[in-house]
Amino acid sequence: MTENDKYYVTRCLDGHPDDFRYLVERYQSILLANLSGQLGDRDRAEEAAQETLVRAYFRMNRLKKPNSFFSWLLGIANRVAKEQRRKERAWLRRESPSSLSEEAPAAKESPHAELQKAVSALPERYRQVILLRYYGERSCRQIAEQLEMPLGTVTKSLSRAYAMLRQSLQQE
Amino acid sequence: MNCQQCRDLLVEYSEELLEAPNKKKVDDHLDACPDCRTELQQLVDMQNSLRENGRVVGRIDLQDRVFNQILREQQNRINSAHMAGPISIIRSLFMKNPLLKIAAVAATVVIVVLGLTFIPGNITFAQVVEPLLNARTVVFDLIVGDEVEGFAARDFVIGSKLRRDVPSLNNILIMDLDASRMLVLDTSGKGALYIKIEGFLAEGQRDVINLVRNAVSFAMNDPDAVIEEFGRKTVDGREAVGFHISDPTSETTIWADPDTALPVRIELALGDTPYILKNIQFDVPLDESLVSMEVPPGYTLVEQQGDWSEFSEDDFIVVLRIFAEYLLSGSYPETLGLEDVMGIQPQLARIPQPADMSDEEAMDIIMSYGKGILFFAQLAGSGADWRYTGRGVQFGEADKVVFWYHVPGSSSYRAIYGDLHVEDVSSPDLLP
Repeated sequence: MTENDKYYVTRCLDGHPDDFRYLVERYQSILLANLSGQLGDRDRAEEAAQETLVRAYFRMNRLKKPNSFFSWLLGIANRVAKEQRRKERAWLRRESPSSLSEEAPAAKESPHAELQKAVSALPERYRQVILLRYYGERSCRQIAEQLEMPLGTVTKSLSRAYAMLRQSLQQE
Repeated sequence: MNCQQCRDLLVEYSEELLEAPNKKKVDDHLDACPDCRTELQQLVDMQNSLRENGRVVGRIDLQDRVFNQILREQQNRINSAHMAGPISIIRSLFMKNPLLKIAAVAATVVIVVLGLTFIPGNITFAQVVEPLLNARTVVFDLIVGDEVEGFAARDFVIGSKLRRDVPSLNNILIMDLDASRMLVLDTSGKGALYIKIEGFLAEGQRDVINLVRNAVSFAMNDPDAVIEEFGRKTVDGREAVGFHISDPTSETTIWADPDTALPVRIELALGDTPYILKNIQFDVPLDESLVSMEVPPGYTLVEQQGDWSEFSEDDFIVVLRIFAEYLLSGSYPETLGLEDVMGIQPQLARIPQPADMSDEEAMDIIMSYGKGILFFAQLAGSGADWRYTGRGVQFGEADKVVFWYHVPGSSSYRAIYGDLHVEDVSSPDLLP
């Protein structure tokens, strides 16, 4: 699985939809991490990651820059998470209209959940490098290659991202 | 090596990316500097936490689940394509006259950008933005949603006129805000249409123009905002200085020209929708003909003039009808929002017009569609209580509410049902 995203996207569009497997394999854990932070729940995150990948499959012909598959995929994941939250709010409102107005006491989150939440709240450029580095297990050089940026930009982005994460965890 | 130089290299140091001479310098500095050692320790702790978190999130294998769902959806699509055949013959609607579709396109383009007026909070102007306020021309690319896949337009503001090119929809809108008039051009079918845009719509467009200016003053005035400098970088092909502003409701990044301090790129995340304004230029010489309200040579003018100055619940019901009856084979959409309205655009332009429907009737329906979207945009932007509850409801179901809203300034609510009849409801407790 050493080919780049563009290669697999092109293969899929050229009539080899099975090659989508490689993209699923490459990004499933990253998506799961990102969505766990956004949705705060593993099961819902798995469901949303699945939905994100299925949507990506059906919309691949609309992807204008195959090199940007990852950032495009994160965009889809954001929309899926947003829809899911919207549905949940609507459901909550129907089931127990009062629960929305009364602020439920927040349960203390585990450090892992807090960190995931902080990662998913990072601005996109920083989130991308953190997700690729720690949830996609890419080296800095691989990230630089994939995101088409100088190695120095990757390390600076990581540095900035660590600072943001530290700050946001201290505020918790 | 001083502390700042050392800290700038710590990530590369911890990732073992430094060449021997630099590594030695960092080592030497760390030996002598307890503060930087603490800094390194914090960095390593963060990296370890993330690595550990990566393990907890753990490996997952979604391949089978994803492919099973893809197979199911493909089957559904095949089934609904079979059904769509007879339905489209029985219920077909609009587009015998290709000129008419330009109104439908215009509705979409207008609403996309009205999204920008939903920005919460009051943004005030500051002296800082004085030069922007006085700029006679502004040009920028506007992207809503994903930078690669989202809606993209190029805007030219000349005085009180605005031209918006949307190549992906073969569409050009030219608005004369003082004359409250809009010219819509369909560049593929060479059709032209005038629409009256007094009131809400014209004001909404002014807000868009001001957005570029507002983004700057917003950053300067918001006491809760945390402003951080990014330093210099090449952005969209030019050198720029970046500022990042976070506040509780939004994330804004502004890239400005280092000489003039004018913004060249603005990235805004409002709620979950990203907006990007890029390649921004002020006071560039622009030809007035860009915003000419004359129909260009080679274009055919649609005889009827549209009017989007006033709109009502009836127009909104047309939108619901088009979604449920014509586009989704009898079901109401899962959600109703800006993205949904944008998403149906290509299908909307493909619905054929039935043989027994006159162009005037088809035009009325299309105009109502545009006005219905404006009704929704205004309602959503007004802060009124409303809810879309049509998920899972079938077109024609008279006992299920698909949409309700609070009538501003009254104590009653309006509820629109699955068969599109409307009732007054006295209390929200009676609504889903």
